[in-house]
Amino acid sequence: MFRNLYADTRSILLSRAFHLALIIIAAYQVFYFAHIKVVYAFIGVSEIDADDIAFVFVSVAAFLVTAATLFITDREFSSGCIRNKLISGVKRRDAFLSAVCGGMLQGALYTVFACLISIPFIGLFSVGFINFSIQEVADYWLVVVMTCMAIGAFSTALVMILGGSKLSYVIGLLIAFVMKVWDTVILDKLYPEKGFCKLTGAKLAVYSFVDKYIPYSYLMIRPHYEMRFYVTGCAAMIVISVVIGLIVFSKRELK
Amino acid sequence: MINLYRANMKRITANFIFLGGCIIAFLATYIFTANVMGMTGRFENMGPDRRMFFISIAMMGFFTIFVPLYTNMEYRFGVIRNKIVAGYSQKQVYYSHLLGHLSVLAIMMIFYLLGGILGGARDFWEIALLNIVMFFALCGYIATMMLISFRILKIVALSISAFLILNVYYTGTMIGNALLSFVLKGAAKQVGVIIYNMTVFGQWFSGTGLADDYINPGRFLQMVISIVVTLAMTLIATAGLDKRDLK
Repeated sequence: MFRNLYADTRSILLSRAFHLALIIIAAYQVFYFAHIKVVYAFIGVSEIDADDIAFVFVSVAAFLVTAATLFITDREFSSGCIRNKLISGVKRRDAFLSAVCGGMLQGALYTVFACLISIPFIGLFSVGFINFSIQEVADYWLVVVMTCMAIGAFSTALVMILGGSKLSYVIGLLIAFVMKVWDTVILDKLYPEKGFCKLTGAKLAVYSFVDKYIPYSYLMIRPHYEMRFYVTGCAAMIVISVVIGLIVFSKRELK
Repeated sequence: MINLYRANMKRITANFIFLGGCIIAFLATYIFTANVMGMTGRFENMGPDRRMFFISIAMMGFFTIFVPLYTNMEYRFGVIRNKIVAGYSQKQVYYSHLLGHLSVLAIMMIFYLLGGILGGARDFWEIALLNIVMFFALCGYIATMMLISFRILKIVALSISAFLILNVYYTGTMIGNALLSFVLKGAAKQVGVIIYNMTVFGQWFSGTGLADDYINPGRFLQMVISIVVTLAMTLIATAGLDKRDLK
């Protein structure tokens, strides 16, 4: 298991897709900062709050983590790596768990990198945080790290379950996009700009559940629940991905 | 070229993703337009005609998946190589695919219109105008998908690129709404409106009645913008295409 995990981790860290994802995160931070600067120039504001440029990664995190894990995990199938591992005696369970750990590692590394990249922008170009205390900033990044790890695990498990079929290329990305659109609707209904929430009954229960326990929604708005809800949501997503993935992956015929 | 188009249509119309998409287009439009699920609030107030138009954006999602997957499958299975070996140029193959996908769009819109009309949409002129605009907007989107499908041959990179475009269009429209409402003024706003309407999301948003009126430059201008986008994407896709080596 650990030899396999070591090999997978090394493969991820040395892969071009991983490096490209890091470059994209840095480039997006620069692009977003330039965009904010232009918008502020239009409305005649010269000072930028750190609130506006600190959490840039969060808006693209779900897509980026899903895309990167899809790219790297699919390579295992297309290059015959998984098949070779199984032939050389690696258990299916170990191969799956190692891949999922790799997905989680990617999620964590991308977020930590994004956090580090945002620090010089905050220090050099902003007037500091207005609506966040230091503890809230730390909490926010912690939630994003956990969320990206959960999404990385889920996305990797999906590719391992569907590996080799056409569905694996679209399902993770489609879920990430649909959740983004749906979460926009949910937030609009739960926290309307004008007036109060008018939802009742089953709809309120479903929307509140998604807002509280589905990690994709944690990336849509700053943390507003206690940390235990975020930990529960992310842990549940990882556990469900691993359990279902192990059951399916151990029985499926590999192409 | 006509032979290529016919062959394409024969293969596409037998494709299970396309057939499933048509059935879903019919059923989803009927269910949404007739409000079978008993939605209240904003959707109930929209009325059948607007509800029908609202669901039309699902076709954008369908073509995000279908165009790259189908076209790449043709590359992977050697269908395109065989066509080139048979004496057709890559440009001819491209045009036949583009025409094929636009025909698929027209067929799917027939299913969608059928579902909407059976679901209770009645205002003929509003349906006709809005959906012609949507048809042209989707043509631009399909041309964009065709561009990446012919330029990126690795399926994983292609899927990621297709969804990246979908995400950029969606996020761009949301940002566009905020910029046009609060930031841009005068000539900058006019340019912003044109850019906003270059995406399907932008044109769809202006047709749903959920957005402010100023994001709509006029239905005719929207169609012109879509045609320009389609032509631009086709030009970029075919530039130097015949000189490219196929593996």
